[in-house]
Amino acid sequence: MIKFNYKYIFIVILASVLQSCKEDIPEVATLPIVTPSGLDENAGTWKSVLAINTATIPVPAPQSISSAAYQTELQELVTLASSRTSQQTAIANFWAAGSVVRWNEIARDLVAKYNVAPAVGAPANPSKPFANPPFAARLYALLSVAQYDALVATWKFKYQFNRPSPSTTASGIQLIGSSAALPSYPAEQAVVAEASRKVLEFLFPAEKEFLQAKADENMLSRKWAGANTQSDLDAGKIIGTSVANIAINRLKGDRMKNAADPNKTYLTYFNINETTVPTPWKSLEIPERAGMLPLYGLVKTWYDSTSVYATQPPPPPAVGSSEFMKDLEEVRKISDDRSREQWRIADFWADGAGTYTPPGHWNKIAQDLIVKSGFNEVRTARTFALMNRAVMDAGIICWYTKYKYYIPRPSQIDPKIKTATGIPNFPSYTSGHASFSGVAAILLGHIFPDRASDLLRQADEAALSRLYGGIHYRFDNDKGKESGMKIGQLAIAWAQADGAN
Amino acid sequence: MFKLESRSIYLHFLHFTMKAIAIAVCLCASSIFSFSQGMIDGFMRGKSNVTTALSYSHESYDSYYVGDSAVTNPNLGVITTNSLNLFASYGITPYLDIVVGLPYVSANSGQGYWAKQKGFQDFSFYLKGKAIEKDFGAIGKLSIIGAAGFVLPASDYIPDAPVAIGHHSKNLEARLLFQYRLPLGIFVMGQGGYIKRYNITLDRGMEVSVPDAWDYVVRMGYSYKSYYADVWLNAQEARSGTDIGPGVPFPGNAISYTRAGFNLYAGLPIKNLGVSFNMGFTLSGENIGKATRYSSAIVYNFPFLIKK
Repeated sequence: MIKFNYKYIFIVILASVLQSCKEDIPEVATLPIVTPSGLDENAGTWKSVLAINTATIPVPAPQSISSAAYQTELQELVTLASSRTSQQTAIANFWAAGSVVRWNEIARDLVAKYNVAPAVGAPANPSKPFANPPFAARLYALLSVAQYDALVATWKFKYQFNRPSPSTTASGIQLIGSSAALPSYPAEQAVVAEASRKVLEFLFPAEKEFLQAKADENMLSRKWAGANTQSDLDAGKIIGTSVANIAINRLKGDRMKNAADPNKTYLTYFNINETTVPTPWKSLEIPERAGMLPLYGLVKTWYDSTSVYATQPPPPPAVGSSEFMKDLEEVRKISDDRSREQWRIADFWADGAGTYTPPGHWNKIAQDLIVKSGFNEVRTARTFALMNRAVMDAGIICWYTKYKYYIPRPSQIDPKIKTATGIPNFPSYTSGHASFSGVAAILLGHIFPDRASDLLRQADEAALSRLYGGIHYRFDNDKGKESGMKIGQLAIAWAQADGAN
Repeated sequence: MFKLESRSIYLHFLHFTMKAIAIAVCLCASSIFSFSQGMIDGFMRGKSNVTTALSYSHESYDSYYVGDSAVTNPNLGVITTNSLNLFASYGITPYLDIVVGLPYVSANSGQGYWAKQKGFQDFSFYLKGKAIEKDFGAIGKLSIIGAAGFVLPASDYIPDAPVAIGHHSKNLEARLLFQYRLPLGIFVMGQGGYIKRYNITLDRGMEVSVPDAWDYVVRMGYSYKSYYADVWLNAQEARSGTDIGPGVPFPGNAISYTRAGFNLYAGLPIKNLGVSFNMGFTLSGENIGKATRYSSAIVYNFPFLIKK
């Protein structure tokens, strides 16, 4: 006999419902199309970082808009823009959020992809660089500087040639993004695409094809957007190439190639021995790994090096001194009784392996503020360039201090200190997070004064996150932040004199 | 005299031991979900009967699968998970049971400096209904059982760390189970289930899709008087997900595994009380610890609720 209980049919129904409702992975946040709040007509006179001489950039004078050649181009543009497919519109919308912002995102994604420590003892592989925080700080700085200097040159040419935007001279174009009042020659997004592609390709040679495809898409998107004709794009490419080459040359001579220091010359350079540093830092990894980039502290700074090195923090309290033990005790207490909120903060700001790093986090914060403010391309690039140069300089001073004083991590002194984040493989004093965050918050607070106090709160939280994580003493944070904030003032001084105010 | 009815209660519990715990325990060098054979077995509780169990389990591994290749990590060493699990089952009607479970889990790594994790893990609730029962007399009896339930994180534990106690996702689950009982106390059971896991937001502010999974269990067992033994095989297959890697959120990993184990149970001279011992072994897997688990439990049936 079969007994059948109809009321249990719901179970079968529920089962099939469960199977059918598939939850999607959250979409990547879409950025708004930027309609710039201002044109910055005088940006061609802004001070460039790498002293670019526009006379050396071979941008040809454009054909007049009445020329047959230009009319043919314009006709092509009208056809493309008026018959764009929904997919082409989507791509045009994507890049209309801003080429500088989009290439910053691409750079952050690549940093995250390459932020993987190689096996201990593995020889350096130039096609697979380790995009750790100092590497990333340098990359973001270089990218932003190349974008900014190229755009300053672009603005100079734009207002020199004054070619009107296609949407003002041809009918049938519905412009996506940018401003119809901005002269279209050379195309600013082509400049950014080409400069960014070249700089990123120099640092990530294995990404050549990926980057080329992105640059091609960026340029083509400006046609679909109805913003630029072929000659606008071609002229932009010339500027991008010229400035990227200058930036890459600067990079080749910045002493980064010595930073890894496999022969440990830094021990001599900083005079680290049993007498000078009785309790030296040691790697807590198994097997032990050489400290990260010991000579990064000697890499060329962006702002005036004398002023930058003048921000060096004082010596830390000696290991074992009462001042030291007090701060060690604080780390231990947190480790013994870490709250959930402290863990959350430690994790939120960790930006460890496989992520865009703390400098990348501040680029994301900057991007959100820039997008909200509707900055045009050149002002966006200026903000990133001011910040990322300062962030790298703060990293340089932080690294110099780390290897000069060679202070052990808290867990090395007290192995009962357990962490809520990975223990970075370099000395403790000062905190990189505190340095990067202090400098970024100060500079961004200057650009976005109504957000200044919130930015400082975020910087404080980022610094505290390392104490909560159990990997830094409070004195690491305080002195790192102090030095970072002083470098932030150097950047502000530059910003006040660059002609953009 | 050990009547079939009460025996099934014990059996039920047993199954639980391996499983609730199981469902419970997630840990890892990589966030690793543990032995889950599901909380649903092929025996109904019986109207108004209540069975409770308290179990302790210990699980450890020194190697784990990244993708499907096993690796060791000297910076984590042996990862150990201990858990205490509360389980209860109540028969609303002869055909409908409520099954609940709540584990307290602690996870630790033997090397390195990652902080130990501990806390109540996930509360599980299931409704389990016997849809069909066909008695073939001397050659046995077939039951078809359906179950549906949900899992809710019972505390604000940390989901995304090398040593973690769970993924902190809310889940819905549905299962269909066939059990054939032969005379002389031998039975075979097979079940399949689908686990739907909802997205979670990590401390780092990122929303992550926690993969859904198919889960299968086959079991063969035997009971005699107040003794019981079974062997089981459990496979779980993630429907999507990532491999363990730098920066990759652990809760988004595609966790799949095949595990096998056994349960032993004996009633005690004290009325309504029994004890069990269980073991489970990981045969293969993806993005999960190659763990071995031991567990033990005491089982108690509330006599005052049993209506004559």
